Amino acid sequence: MAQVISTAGLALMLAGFCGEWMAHGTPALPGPPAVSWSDPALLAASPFLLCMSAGILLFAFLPALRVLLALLDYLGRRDWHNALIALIVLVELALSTQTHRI
Amino acid sequence: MIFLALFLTGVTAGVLGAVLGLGGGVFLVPALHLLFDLPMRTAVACSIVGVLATSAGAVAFAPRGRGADVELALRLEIATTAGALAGSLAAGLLSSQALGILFAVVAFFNAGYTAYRSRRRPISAPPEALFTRDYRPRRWGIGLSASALAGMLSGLLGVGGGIIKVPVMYSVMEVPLGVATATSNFMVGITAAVSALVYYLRGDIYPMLAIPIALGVFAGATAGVWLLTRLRVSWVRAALIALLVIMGVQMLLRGLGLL
Repeated sequence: MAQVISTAGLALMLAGFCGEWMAHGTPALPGPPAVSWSDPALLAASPFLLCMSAGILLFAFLPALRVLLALLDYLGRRDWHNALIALIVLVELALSTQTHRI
Repeated sequence: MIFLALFLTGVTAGVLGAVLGLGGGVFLVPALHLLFDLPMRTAVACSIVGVLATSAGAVAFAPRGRGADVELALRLEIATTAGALAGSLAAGLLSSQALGILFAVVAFFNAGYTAYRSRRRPISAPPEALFTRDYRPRRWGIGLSASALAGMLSGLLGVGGGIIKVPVMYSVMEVPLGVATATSNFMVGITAAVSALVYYLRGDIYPMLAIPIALGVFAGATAGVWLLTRLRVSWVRAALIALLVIMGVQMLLRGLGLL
C-alpha cells in the first residue's frame, strides 16, 4: 500500500511538473505556491499545479497512513498494547497540526 | 539547468539520508539557502518535502528484512511528537544561541559514545551486522528521553531528528545500525508530515522548486537503501560519527556567534 501511494504521489508530481514546464517553460522562480483545498483560487488553478499539489499532499499524508495501517494490523492481530500506542501517535499528530497552525 | 541542479542536490541528500537514517534536511536546508540563494523559509519548506520523499523512498522500497522496526518507531515517536509539541510551545524561552550550544553538546556526546561503544566490542565477538532480527532494544528510559529531545530540537532548529535518534538507538538501545537507520527514516517522515501540512496551508511550498528536489531525494533514498545492504557497519558508523562532529562544530560556532 505504501509503495502504491508513494508511486502515485511521484507520478502526480512528475506529471504536473513536466506539464507545467512544457506548457509555460521555466517560470520565474519560485513559481506559484501549492494550492490549498480552501483556497478561493482553487478552481482557477492550472491543472498541472493541482497535480503537483495533490502529489505533495499524498506524500504529506503517507506517514500518517502508515501509522493507521499499523493500527489496523495490530487491531486485526488483537495486539491491543501496540494498537493503543499507534492510536496515541495518531492523536499526537492531529494535535501537533492544530498547535502548529495556531 | 537549475532544475537539474536541484534534482542532483536532492539525489545527494537522499542517498546520505537513507544510509545514515537522517531526513536529509541537515544537508538540504544549508544547500538550498547557500547554493541556490533561497530564503530560509522557502529552503526549509522545500527541505521538508524532501524529508518526506526520503522517508517514502527508504521505507516503501526497503528490501524484505531490511526495514524499520515499526513497534520501536511508534514507541519512540510518542516521545518525539510530545517533545516537538513542547518545543513549539517553548520556542520563545530559549535563545537560538542556547539551542545551538545544546545541540552541539548532544551531537558531541553522541559521537563520543558511539565511538566508545564500538571500541568496547570484544575482539572475539562475531562480525556486527547492519540488519538482524536477533536483538532486543534496551535502556528505554534514555531512548525515550533522547527522542523527546530530538523532537524538541528538530522543531526549534529544523534539524536534530535522525541525527540524534540513530546514534541513541544504535549505541544506547543496542539496536543494529541498519535497523536504527531504517527506523529513523520511518520516524522522520512522521515528524516531517506535521510541518509539511502547516507549511502547505500557509502557502510556503513552491512545487516548481520542491518537486525536482523531492524527485531527486526519492531516487537517492531508494538507491541509498540498496547501498546500505552492501556497506560495512564500520563505514556507516564512521560516517555517522564524522557527521555528528561536523554538525556539532557548526552549531557550536553558530551558538557562540562565530558563524
